Amino acid sequence: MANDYKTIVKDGLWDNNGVFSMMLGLCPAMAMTTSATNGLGMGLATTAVVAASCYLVSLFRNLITREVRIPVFILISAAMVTIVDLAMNAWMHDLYKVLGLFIPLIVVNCLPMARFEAFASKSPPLPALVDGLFMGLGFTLALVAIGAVREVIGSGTLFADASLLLGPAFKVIELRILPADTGVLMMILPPGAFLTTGLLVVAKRMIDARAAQARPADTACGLA
Amino acid sequence: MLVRAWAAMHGFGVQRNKRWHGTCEASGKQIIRPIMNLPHTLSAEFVATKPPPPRTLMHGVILGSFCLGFGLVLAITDRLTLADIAARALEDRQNSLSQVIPAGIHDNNPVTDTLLMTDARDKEITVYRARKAGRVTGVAYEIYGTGYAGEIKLMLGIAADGKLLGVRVLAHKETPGLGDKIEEKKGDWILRFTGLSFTDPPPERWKVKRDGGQFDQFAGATITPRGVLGAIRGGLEFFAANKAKLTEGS
Repeated sequence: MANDYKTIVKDGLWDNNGVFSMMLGLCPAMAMTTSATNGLGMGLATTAVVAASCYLVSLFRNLITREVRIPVFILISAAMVTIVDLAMNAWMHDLYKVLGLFIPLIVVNCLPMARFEAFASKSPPLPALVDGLFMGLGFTLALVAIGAVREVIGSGTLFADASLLLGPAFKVIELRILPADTGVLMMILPPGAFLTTGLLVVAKRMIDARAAQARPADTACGLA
Repeated sequence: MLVRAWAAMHGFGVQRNKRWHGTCEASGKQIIRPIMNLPHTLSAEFVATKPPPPRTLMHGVILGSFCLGFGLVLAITDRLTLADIAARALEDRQNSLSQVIPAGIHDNNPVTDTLLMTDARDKEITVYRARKAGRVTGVAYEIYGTGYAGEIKLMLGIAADGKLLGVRVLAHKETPGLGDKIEEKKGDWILRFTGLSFTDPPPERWKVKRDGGQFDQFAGATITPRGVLGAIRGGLEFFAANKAKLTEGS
């Protein structure tokens, strides 16, 4: 069983990464990654929703018939998004002012739908929760990576305004890599998102291919 | 030739092959047609037999109960958060008012000292009044501009003599990392208007440089500052047109 969880974690973070392997949720992954901080915010909000709704889908998996599963899945993730939106607005208002923009976008993310269909609807609640959690964290990782590359090249900073999201203690991770006003604006604009995502996918595949070469017996891993 | 075909979206092989299945009554031969063909095009005398009773009702009940259940959950969440969200909104308003109305110029609570007006386009505007010893020293009201991705909502504070006390963005949907530099937290661009008025600079200079005005747009975003400036110009025009009523008792 422990081995299963290890696979789930590895799948979510790397082997089956939502953005770089499954190419899911690319709309928020590209639209919201103008900075590493935005990527982190969007990723964390998505993680909360994916984990919670995977758990619910798994709980109800024996009640949902094949024919109506898609509307029920959409209903569950939309309800989770709305609850997170309302609750954060009421009780985590400062965080909401930063993340509020991102939360409704989670509804249009394909990642939860894919996990419901491929995993949560066929698994017991606990593995489904772990799967949703690590798929979300893998998504966060990818968004932070895309956001960091775009932000460093585009505006010369890294994790700018992270203290608004994470609290004043994180002021130290706000870095300026390049002098002000030297950034390549295109990287902040939509083309930069496509270029960065594409190049990062290439990088991941190269790493995987190299790893597979080093271990010829284990070719299935990473090439999927 | 009479063809009696039974055709349904389920049963053996029908769904898998995406075909109508039927038999020719005369010869007993099986007839298979692409699903694109409507039943009546299979034969002039085609009589469709009723498909087996579907389980629609059960699916409806399942979907309906999920809708009802989650609808209830959402209603409860809404009820639980309603008061807190309203309180936060009030705090936000108090905060934004305190940013455009300096504490030194009033001894009342502007949030509760309101005046309902209509602007030139018949839009209702709630005006918050700052008073010191009963005399109006300044007013603040919300103004709206059209940005790159929708409406930009701002709070504008203006002293009784027509000088801007400050402008702050309350809500916007501009591109994060690009258009959001209009927020005070993310740049000092919005601070440059304090102390200016409708005549300083003159109205035709209340534009971004690209439009012949005197205010910088910022890198990569012209539409956002243009929207903000349009809103401020509108707000100043509103003040100029209603000065007597707004500063009544100053």
